[in-house]
Amino acid sequence: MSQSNKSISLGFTNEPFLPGVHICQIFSSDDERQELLLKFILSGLQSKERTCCFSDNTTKQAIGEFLGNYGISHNDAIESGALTLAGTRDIYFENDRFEPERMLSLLASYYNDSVTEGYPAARVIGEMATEIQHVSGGNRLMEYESKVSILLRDHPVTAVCQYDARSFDGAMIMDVLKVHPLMIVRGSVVHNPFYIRPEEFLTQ
Amino acid sequence: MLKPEILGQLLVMQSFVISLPDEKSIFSFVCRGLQDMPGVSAVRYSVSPQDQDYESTTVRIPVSLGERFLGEMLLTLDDKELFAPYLDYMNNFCYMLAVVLEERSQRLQNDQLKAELELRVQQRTNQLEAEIAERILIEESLLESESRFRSLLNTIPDLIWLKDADGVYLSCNVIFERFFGAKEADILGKTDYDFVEKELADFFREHDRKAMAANSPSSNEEWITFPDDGQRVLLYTTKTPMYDNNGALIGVLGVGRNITEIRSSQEEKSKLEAQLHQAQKMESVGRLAGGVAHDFNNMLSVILGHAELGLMRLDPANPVCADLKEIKSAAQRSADLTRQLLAFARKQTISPKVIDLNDTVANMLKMLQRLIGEDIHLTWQPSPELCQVKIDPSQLDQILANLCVNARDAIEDTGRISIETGTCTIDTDYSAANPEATPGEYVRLVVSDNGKGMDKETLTHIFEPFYTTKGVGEGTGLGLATVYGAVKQNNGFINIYSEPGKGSTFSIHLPHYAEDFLRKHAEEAAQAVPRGHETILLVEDEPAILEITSQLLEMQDYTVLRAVNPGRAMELAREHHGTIHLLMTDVIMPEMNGRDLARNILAIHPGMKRLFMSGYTADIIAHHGVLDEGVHFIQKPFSLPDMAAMVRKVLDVG
Repeated sequence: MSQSNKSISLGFTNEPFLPGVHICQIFSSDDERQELLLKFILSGLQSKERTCCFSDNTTKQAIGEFLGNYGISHNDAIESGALTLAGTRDIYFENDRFEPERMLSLLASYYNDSVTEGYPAARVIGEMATEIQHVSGGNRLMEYESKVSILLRDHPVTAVCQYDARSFDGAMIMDVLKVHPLMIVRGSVVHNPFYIRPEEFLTQ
Repeated sequence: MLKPEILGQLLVMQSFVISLPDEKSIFSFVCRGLQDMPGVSAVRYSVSPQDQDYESTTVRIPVSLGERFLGEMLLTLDDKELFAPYLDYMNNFCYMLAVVLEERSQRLQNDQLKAELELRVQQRTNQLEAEIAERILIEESLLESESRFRSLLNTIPDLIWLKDADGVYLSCNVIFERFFGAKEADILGKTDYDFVEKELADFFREHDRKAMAANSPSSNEEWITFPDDGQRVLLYTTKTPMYDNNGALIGVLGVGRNITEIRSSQEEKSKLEAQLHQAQKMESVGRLAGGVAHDFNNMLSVILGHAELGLMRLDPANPVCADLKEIKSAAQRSADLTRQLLAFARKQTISPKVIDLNDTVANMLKMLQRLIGEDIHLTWQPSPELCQVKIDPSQLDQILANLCVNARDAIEDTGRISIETGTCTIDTDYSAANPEATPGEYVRLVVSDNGKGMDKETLTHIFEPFYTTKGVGEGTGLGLATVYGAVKQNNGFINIYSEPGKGSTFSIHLPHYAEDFLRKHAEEAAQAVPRGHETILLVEDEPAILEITSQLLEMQDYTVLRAVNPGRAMELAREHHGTIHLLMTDVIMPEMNGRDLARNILAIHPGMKRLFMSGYTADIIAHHGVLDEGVHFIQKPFSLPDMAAMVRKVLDVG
């Protein structure tokens, strides 16, 4: 697997990126969120990348119908392990706790397994649930996001984090921006001027 | 020294604030974003223009559009110089923020107005839909009601119509459509003058006006003809003025009921009632006549007997003989009258025999021709079929003679009388309409004439005893009464067809006797008044009759034991040691009737013959006037030869 040298398509923009980018999408409509999610999954499967999606708001059926339009069987993809679909709460809040270490470990394992299984690359898209603000460990979200950026340097999983501007406080949205090097503004992926390198962010 | 990333941050914030849901979130987002600006130590915002809670190092950057204050950003600076290059950008940013906030406010206001408008539209839509639904329900209900009303109108077998005050049709039912031969759509808006002749339309209009003027229903009867099949019916029409809810006259509602059958039934009922009344009257008269005849016969028996006895005892040269002959003749004519009365009353004792009407009538033709005279032509048309009836031949003589005499009298000078026979079947329908006729097979004897005929009034009385259209002394009024009685006694009936000037036809219907019978009739040889030497026990509660009958019997050499009542008869029967050959007894007596007496004496003198006498009825010894086999009867009054012949006959019967 030589992911780091080969650019990939994110599906929702024509601009090529190297694997391992960490992008946030601040959305304010469900259509905006779902369109990006489906295109990201489709491009991943079309590129034979191992693809993973954590969402509580996009159903398996909707994903299946969308992929079906492009001749891809989501069931086959799931069965083969190329596609992983799971609910955000199920993954992030195991035992009603948010544990950044567990999530980082999962992400590392996901990458390593993908390498082992021969996938050319791996990607993950996750929609953050608003419960994060209330569950135990939820206050470590920015720490986690910042450490993801560190992890991706050695485990270049292409990651897109979706946040609902209608559900999170403006200050928290600003914090989210600070821990993502790339962000989506009006459909384009741009470098985030608010981004604070993890080493600096984690020391603040 | 401007840092490009700071300007980028301001641009990014500009981009993102649009996505944030509310002012709080926007300012929260902006405050957090501005915290890292060069020279800034703290950031807050205020929406109060009078906010004075800030330090001297605080830079107040208004978020406003002209005079419209939306808030302000309060930036506490720890290094003014570092921040100074960004102040203009911050002012622009805050202006942009004001634009965004104002736009958002306007949008929210618009959204709110739109939502309110949509809500009001929705409410009004719901209201309209409810009104429409209600109206649809009302319309459906009206349609259903109209349909029910229409169905009701069309189910009623009467003609129903509604006209306005000017006679213009507003509505009608299907039966009425049939009357005009047009559909309702073609009738509405038109008047009677468009469909029927002016005279009839005038008649209808007159009744419309009458009902409207009287302010009450007006009824009349009228015959109408349905044009489709020509059916003609009698309508009982009621026209009722109609008013609207305000009491204004709408027009006239008409209902025409077909009373053709009802009227026919009423007429039929009246006819049947008249027939019943007539039958009851005839029965009453018959009973009266029979009763009178009984007593009268007893008296005639005495008169006749004594007259005959006197004639036998006197020298024929004696002038008194002529008187006695006149007395005898008058008594015999009187006896004939009472016999006819009894015939009418169906009380005459008869001995029915099976005869063929064709033979019997044929044998009577000569006698009948003599009866009606030479000026009247008598025709005879026998039926090719066998016309057997069971009737006493003497009754048939009575019937034919009386009918022919009446026919003769109906013809003034010359004319024609025809007699014909035939058979017919009376069914239940005919029987229902003519109660006197019971269903079955009948032989018809028809006597017609081309005489003056009779009117209806005469026809209702012709069978009544003593009713006659003939002059005084020309008729007894018993002829047709006799015919009626004889026919009824033989379970027959009579039809009469007659009109003034068109002659009369009497159809006598007698039950067809279907059994084969021997055509040969036993000819009874005429014999001289027979005599004998046997002993006769004579019982008669009328002393005068007892006396005269005894004398007559003794003159014929019989031994007569006289008894004036049954008790005496029993004594004589017990006391007499010789043979009593014949019991000759009256039928109705105070102590015991003749039948019981005969039975009692028979116990003492077995083998004794019995001859019953009566001036009235044979019911006690006969069933419905018909004698049982072996029982003998003689009608009072009787002549000596008749009595002697009967006595001899009874004694000689094995």
